[in-house]
Amino acid sequence: MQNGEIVRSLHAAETWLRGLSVVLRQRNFSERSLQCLLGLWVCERALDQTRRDGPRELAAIISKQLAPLQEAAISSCDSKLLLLALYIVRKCGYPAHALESYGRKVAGAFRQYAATHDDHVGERIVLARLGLSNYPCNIAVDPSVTHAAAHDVLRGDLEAIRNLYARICAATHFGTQECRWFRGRGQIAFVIRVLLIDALNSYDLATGAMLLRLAAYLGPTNEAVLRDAQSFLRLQQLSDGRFGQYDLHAEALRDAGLDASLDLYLPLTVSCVWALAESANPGFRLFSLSSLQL
Amino acid sequence: MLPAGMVPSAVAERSVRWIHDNLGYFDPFAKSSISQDLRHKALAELVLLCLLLRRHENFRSLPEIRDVMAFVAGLNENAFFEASLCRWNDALVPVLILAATLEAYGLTSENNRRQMIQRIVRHSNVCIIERVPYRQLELRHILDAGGFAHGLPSYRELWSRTLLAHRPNLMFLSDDDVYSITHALFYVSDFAARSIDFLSPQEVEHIHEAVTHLLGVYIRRKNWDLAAELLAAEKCLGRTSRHSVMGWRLLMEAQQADGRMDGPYLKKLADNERDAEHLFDACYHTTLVSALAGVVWSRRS
Repeated sequence: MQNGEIVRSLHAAETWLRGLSVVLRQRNFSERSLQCLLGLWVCERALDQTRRDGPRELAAIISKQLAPLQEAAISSCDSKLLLLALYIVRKCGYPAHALESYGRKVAGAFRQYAATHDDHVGERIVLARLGLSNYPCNIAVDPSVTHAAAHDVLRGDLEAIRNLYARICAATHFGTQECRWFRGRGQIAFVIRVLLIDALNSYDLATGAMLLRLAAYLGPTNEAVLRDAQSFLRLQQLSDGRFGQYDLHAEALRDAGLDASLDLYLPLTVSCVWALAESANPGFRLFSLSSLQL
Repeated sequence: MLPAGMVPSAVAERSVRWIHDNLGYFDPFAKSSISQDLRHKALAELVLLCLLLRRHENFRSLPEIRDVMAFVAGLNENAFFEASLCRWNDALVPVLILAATLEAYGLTSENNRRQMIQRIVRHSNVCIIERVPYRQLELRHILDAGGFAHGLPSYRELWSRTLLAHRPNLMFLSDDDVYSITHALFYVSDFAARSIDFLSPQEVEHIHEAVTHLLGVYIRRKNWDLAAELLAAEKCLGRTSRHSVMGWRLLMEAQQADGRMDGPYLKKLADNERDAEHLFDACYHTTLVSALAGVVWSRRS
């Protein structure tokens, strides 16, 4: 990775995530452990490190935590996250029976359908990496992502943005392949940059991070708006490495029964490191073979 | 080029009609529940619009504009303007706009205060007090438009102090910052009447990119006030884009049948504030800038 500022930012985030993983080891299994594992993995792969200490230690704990549990214990977790976690735990050399069982079940379900919906392309790609499914070539991406549709999204709500996100992730396999067939690709890229400015300007960091990745998938990544977005996100990083200036609301979060570190900063920090890593380095894609392989 | 049927001048004409129908609310000396300062601001903005409309044959001959200018000429007789000119630094720009516009329409009366303004410019502090950069550009622009002598720095030098000249990070911009961006472009280009010759094509391209992205943001937010200003700013750069077509289509859709453009704060009015005066307060600026955008996008005669 070329950008020194972003490298420093990812190192700081990795340190914070490591600290959080110590806390998570002492708790029962939850989706937060998987999120933390993914964050550590992204930092390590993006920084091109080889020691794998961060994800390995947490992977070992997750493997232990899940050993006595049935699949039902993970059923409420995000499916892409589960499959990515399975991949990481496996690569770290630990068993994860509940996750393996889940992966086989999902692969079996996909085999029954000729085409894959936009929303499930991520699962199909990871299943292929896991050797549980063929690589998804038959993705039925709706080709109507056109100029007019992009303008509708410009004025649409968060659901419309998420639909566009799913379509473009599907069409580009999460930024791992070029998508030349988009009609009005330049217009869509413009709309995504506008949505990105609007989200970050409104301090919606999670949506902004998602859109920054999307903008990077469509390229080019040297756009001024992308650099501004990276700079904005980096400036939202606290000295301990987590992202988001939300300490102002710490009391309100506690009153709402939320653990700020786990329920707010963790998902946000993982989103931000993923977005910074992919937007700063077109050679790094979480879903690419080179990023997933050890 | 905009598609057939998408006529910015039609937006401007409808806006002018609404302004004409609400002229009384621009009177800063009328009894009102709205602050007098706001009325003075509204009047100055209306008069500046009239100055720009004067540049276009199809607008200056509108009967509504004749009425508006007669109304402005009547207000000009009020002793307030001359007194404020001599007493308060920040009164200069509105009085300059008034004088320049009345002269442009050939409506100067015995109350012509050109010589007094020129003396104030030369001998008072009005040109040396500290203003934010785009306000300094505003002063220079109206002094030039009115043909007054002054010792202000060049447009290039004034521009170099603006936010836009420093390539701002778009993620951090407030609405006020965006207004300073559009206004800087209005003044350095004389509202699209001249090209900004001190900027390289690459700089213009970069600024245009920022303007079009901001236009997208304000369309998304349904803030027609800044959307209209950004459309005008695009033209001030001598550029158009596919995004301006979208902007004009949505601006035309947003215009009410009577020509009013709803302002960004209209929704914030409480139910008991929905009277004609508050409606004017919430919408006049957006309607004025929509007219302004229509004017700068129209072919100049």
